Amino acid sequence: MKWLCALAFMLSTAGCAPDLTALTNPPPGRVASIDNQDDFIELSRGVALAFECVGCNDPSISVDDESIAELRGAYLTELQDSWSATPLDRTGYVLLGMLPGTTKLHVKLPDRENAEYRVTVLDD
Amino acid sequence: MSYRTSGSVACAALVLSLTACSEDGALGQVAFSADCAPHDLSCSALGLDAPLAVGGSVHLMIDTQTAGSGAPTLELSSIRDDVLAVDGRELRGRSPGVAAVLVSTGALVLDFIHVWVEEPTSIAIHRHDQDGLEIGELSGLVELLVGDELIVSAQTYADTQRLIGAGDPRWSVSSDVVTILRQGDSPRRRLVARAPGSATVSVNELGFSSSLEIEVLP
Repeated sequence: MKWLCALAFMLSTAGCAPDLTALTNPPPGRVASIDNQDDFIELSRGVALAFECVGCNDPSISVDDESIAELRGAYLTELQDSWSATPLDRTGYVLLGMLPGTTKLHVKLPDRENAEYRVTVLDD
Repeated sequence: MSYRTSGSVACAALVLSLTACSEDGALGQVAFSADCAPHDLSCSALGLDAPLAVGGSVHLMIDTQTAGSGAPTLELSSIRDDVLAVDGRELRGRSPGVAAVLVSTGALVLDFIHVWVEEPTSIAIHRHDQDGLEIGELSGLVELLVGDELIVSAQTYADTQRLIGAGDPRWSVSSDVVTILRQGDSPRRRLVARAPGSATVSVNELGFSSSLEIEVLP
């Protein structure tokens, strides 16, 4: 039965580009947002944005110019989905707005379509 | 911001527990608070619920809330050193703005909090009770009897908003009528009325000054 579920999951996600989900809000008057429709991330300078790649299996995420937006891994404690009580494959990241400018964030997955986000860091 | 920052009144209600009011990190895995002496109630009440003054500094206390694990080796860092410098547990305001302060273990970010830094525009002298609880701003003429004591501190403001972060206040008094005493490392001072007469107590901090007129009655 398990292999059927796994097959259904693979069929439902195969070929789809990944979605990045923001886990934190920006401070008042600042910006930190992810637009998965237009593959666009906007961030104020000095602001951190935590996000996760939902359902991503072994993702590889990188930023072209880390002097503009620096990428760090994040430790996320939630291990189980409260509905299914199964471990969640949660891989968290923190993107830091370092300097005003534009760069690109690449999401590479072994089993799905890769994605590329334009990252703009706004001056404060 | 929720109930934790609903105001100093709520924090003052926690006085009995003598616990500093804390702010949750953005990921809810670390609680941040100003490192206050156990009985420094005004420090505990304000916590981090205000911008940090440019030139001021505050010691940060962090409490990890990771299930099933004690705290690993942690490192604090600021992502904008031009706004906010981090030295060990000390945050120092450098220029107005906002900067995320990260708590990391190795290459992993455990949590972060955004800290605002603001240029002060004035300072004011505040009065405290014997336990350190702040009573409010002191202005106008203060009358004391010989032997009376008054505990005061200098507080920084950006217009009407209170700022956190102690600078290096320099206190002085115009006569021997009043003596100014230190209270350890606390920024507070104890003013003791020594003899009948008048005195002006002045404080300079972060380029601003404020003064208090005191009359000691026989």
